[in-house]
Amino acid sequence: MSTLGVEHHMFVQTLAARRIVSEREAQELICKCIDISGRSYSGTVDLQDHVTKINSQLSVLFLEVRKGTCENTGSKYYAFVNCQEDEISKLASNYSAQDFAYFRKMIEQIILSDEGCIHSTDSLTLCNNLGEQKKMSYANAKVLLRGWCNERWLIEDRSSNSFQLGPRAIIELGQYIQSAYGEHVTNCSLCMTVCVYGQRCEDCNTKFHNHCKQRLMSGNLDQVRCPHCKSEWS
Amino acid sequence: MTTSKRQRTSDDQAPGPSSNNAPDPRILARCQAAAQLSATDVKKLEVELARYLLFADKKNIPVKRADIVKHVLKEQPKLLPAVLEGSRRYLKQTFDFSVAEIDYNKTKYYLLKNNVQLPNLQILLRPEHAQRQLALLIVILSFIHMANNSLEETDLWDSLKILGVDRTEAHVEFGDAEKLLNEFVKQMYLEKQKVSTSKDYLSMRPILLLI
Repeated sequence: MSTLGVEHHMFVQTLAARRIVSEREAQELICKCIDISGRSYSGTVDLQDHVTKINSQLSVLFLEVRKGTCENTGSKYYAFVNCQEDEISKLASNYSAQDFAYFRKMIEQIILSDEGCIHSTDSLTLCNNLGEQKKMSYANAKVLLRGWCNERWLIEDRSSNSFQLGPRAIIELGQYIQSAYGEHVTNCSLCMTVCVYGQRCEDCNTKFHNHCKQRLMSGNLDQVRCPHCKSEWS
Repeated sequence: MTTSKRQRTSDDQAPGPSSNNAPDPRILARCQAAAQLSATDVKKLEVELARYLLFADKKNIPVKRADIVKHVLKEQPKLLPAVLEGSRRYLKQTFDFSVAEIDYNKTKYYLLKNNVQLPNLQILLRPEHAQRQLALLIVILSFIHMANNSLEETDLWDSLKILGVDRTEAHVEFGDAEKLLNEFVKQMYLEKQKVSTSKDYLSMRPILLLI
């Protein structure tokens, strides 16, 4: 089993502190850690290689540095995730039971919706009925939503005035979404992972991530066809 | 930052067995004798304690020994030394954290200390707003230090007001400054003592050495 060097310790500490970083940020970070630690590497720095090394140590603690893609932008992200929901991890959260109830409702509405998003006004009315947790003020809800956007649990799409699942929700909660909402969620036919926000082919009803379709279509601009049923895409 | 003389801190001992994750046989024997636990059970507890310390560190609040016994060891305090040693190993291997033990007010506290001493790491680790809060904390600590480690709270606020931090007004960077001060108390950087109904005194706590 390989032991981790100073640069790995610095890198994993930073990821644990920041929770989620973009792929570009992660690349910059590992280079910085290598620089500061005084190690010298020949050739290019292989980010994935370092992540794999770190994960081999993290796995015994049920933690992982997991890679994923933002459904809105297609950018890649690395998230420091907890793989085991237990009593101990629940103690770690800064959010109250009421905050959790509201969050759960938000993501549920987004997952169950057709378009994979929820309109801003609807997101506020959700806090009127949180079951056991009663009601939450709109002001409080707005603060929470802002915080969740900053932490990348959600994305606010200003142009359509709606909220979508952010990369952190996709990466950390992907498995949970699959198991809890199995019948309601479709996988992207191209990458075979959960697709909450994406496009649907009208003819064969398969779903695709925008970025997956983009990558496939990047060559052929003249004939845009559904990758699944080959009918023309409007 | 110096520690106050009356506090004892102890860090990890020299590293135990090599990089493999099996528990030290002597420790294992102790554990098994204490509670008829198998090697797998012991490892499970070591992992849980390591996670517990990690998550508590994220909230920046030191962990009480009693809480560890309650939440992780399920009311078996005898297991603590052995399990702690295993957890220390995991935290050191993966993050290069060590576990510091602090005695205060007849209570034992545990928290994580960063072994990586490179100063640039601190900048990477903290988002900007946290760095600015740290700056405020250091200012507060200097005021307390200059008052021989016992400063009346009203005097502290008078000094802070000169720097533009007001107890009653929302600060452009720190927001509710009083709330932030109480956060520092909760994180055990500062201690607040009531001397009389209207006087609160603030003093430093040695947790600060872990900035």
